[in-house]
Amino acid sequence: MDMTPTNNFIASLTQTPTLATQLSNNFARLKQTNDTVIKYLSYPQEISTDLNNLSSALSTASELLTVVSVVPEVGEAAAAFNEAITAMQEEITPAKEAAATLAADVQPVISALQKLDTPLTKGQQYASDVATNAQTFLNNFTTVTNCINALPDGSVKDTAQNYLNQFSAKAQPEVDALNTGMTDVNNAINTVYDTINSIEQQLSPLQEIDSAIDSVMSALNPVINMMSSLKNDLENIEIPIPLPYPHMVSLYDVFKTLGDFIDLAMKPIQGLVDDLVNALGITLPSIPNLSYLLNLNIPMPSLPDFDALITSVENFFNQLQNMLNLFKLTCPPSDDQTDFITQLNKG
Amino acid sequence: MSEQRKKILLFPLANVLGHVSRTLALAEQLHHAGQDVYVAVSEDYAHLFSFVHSGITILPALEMYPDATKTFGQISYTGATVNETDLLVACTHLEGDELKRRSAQLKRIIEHDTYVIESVRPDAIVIDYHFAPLLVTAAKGIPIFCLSHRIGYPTLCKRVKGEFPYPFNDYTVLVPGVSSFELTENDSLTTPNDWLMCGYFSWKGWQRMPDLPEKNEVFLFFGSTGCAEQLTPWFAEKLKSVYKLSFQKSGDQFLDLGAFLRQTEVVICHGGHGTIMECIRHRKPMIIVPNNLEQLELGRRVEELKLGILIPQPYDSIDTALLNKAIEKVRTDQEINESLERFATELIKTDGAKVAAEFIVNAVHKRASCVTDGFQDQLTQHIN
Repeated sequence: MDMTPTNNFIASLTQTPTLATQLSNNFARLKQTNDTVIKYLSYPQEISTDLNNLSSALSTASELLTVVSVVPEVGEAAAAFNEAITAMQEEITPAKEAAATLAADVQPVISALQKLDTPLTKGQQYASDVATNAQTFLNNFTTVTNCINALPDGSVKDTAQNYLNQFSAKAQPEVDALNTGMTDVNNAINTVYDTINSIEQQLSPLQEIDSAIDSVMSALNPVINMMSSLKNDLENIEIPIPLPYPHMVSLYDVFKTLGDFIDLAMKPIQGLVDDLVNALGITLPSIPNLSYLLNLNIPMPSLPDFDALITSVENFFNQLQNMLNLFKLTCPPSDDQTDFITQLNKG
Repeated sequence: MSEQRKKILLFPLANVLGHVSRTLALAEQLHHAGQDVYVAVSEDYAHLFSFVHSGITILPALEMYPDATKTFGQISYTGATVNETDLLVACTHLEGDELKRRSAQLKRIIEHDTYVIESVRPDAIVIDYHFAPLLVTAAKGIPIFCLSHRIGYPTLCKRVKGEFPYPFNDYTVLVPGVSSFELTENDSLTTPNDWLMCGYFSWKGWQRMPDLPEKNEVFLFFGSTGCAEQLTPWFAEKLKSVYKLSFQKSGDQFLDLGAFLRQTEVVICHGGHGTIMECIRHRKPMIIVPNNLEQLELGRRVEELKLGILIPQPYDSIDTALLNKAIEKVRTDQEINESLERFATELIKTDGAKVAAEFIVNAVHKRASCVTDGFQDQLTQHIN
């Protein structure tokens, strides 16, 4: 007898566990990658925050420098440092805006990815179950088919083969639909994976930029702290100046207004001024590849509705499973089953 | 004194009469002790110069603006109270433009004082609230003495801020007063040379002024820092129908205070340190109407020692009946009379200017260690 329907069914069903296993693995891969992807996608926000902090620090440094430069030694030592922070402020201003825009763009993607964990876990488990169930049925069906094909020619064999062909022809659309559905979901996941992998690669250099920003902050903060201390001393330490009675004049006002008395004003702050003059001699680290941020143009992926995709696979599999549940044939017949004819009649 | 003559250069705060007066008293005693004496003084009270002993060299000087000295620490009353802490902080802090104006003048003063010091090359310098020489580099190494009363602005700062104002913390200060008046019960001198109680400085020059009032009952005197131009006519108007008065004429701050005091019974005054000393010396009870914080401090001390009465309120709010009552009280109060007698006896025992002059001359000749370093090094310590 021509067994093409049965053979086609077996060939199709043979793909099902493989496809389901692939799907399960794909869900697992996406799930495992998700945290890393979210981390990379968070770089723009981190850089945006860090650049804002750096910008504020540079502004603070500039304001403090204006005040503490009233001390002539500091003013002289501060020229190069002032130029450096002005230049850096100009450099980071557009980068700051670009980072903020990028951070806003990726935020919806991050939010969506953060919600993926549950559907991905569910999908992974479900696909795994499909693979197991399909494989089990396939093994049984193949065994039965081979057994029946090995029967001596006759009406029993013909009837059984005919049953196999009829069952296979009925189940073929269901298994095809399931396989197609799983292939589609696999393709969708692959597309998403490839896209976020590409984003990850594009965002990877931001890590280096962020690290460079941290280095600038680390170099800048001690200088800011020193300037802040000096500003505090300039504003709060007062010395008596005879005008004509002893008047209490802040060190700042002495430097600003009473230039002839700066020797008196220097005494309480000489140590701090020396330290600051040395600190102002540092070269601020540069932030390489900052322009990379300006030119970064990332197409945001549209994530598929994984719940819907899983539900569709579920539906396909349920339909197939209903069909498979109708298959009761065993070969050779079991003890409680008299013969194939009886089994087939029951079926 | 057989030793070599020394050159002593004196700098008074030249637009406050009390400082000029006691500096001139010291100058004449130094001259009398055989020293070459120079007084660097601005033209504010140039009329006095003709009464200064001809052996003393008057040198032109610059001084801080008169309004800066006369307005310092002016009292503003909040109801019946005076917030000394706030007023002291306010009067010792200047806003931008005023700070610029005064600092520019201080710079000119320092430049001029430098010129004077380099020209005279003195063996010692005496300052009386003219502190600029402390900031003159050319004065480094020259002994600098400081004239200052202790009760008044110094004790006010000590009480309110916890320390004497610069430069009186650690320096040798020649006090034109006596311990019983200058030191309170809680006060003590840690080092004898820190504050040398010399006794009252009385300038003989006042006696050379040909002015003698008739006998009177109440003398109105507000010196150069007591707002005489407002207070004298106000009190004269209130009292003229009841008492026979004498007072400084408008714009006339130069009078022989001793002569006026001898002719009167009661003095209504601002409470300047020199005026109080003269009143005590002449056993005249005082009614003090203070214009600034220092005078308030001194007035409290006068009242505490039962030398007079303090009226700590705006002059134009003083009730006439209260004023008359106060006058009668100080005229007749036995305690006040006894106290005046006791303090006067102590005050006339010594000529403070002479004591100070002897101290300076001895110190300069011996180059005593307590003064040879001058104030500048200690100024640095004070700031640190």
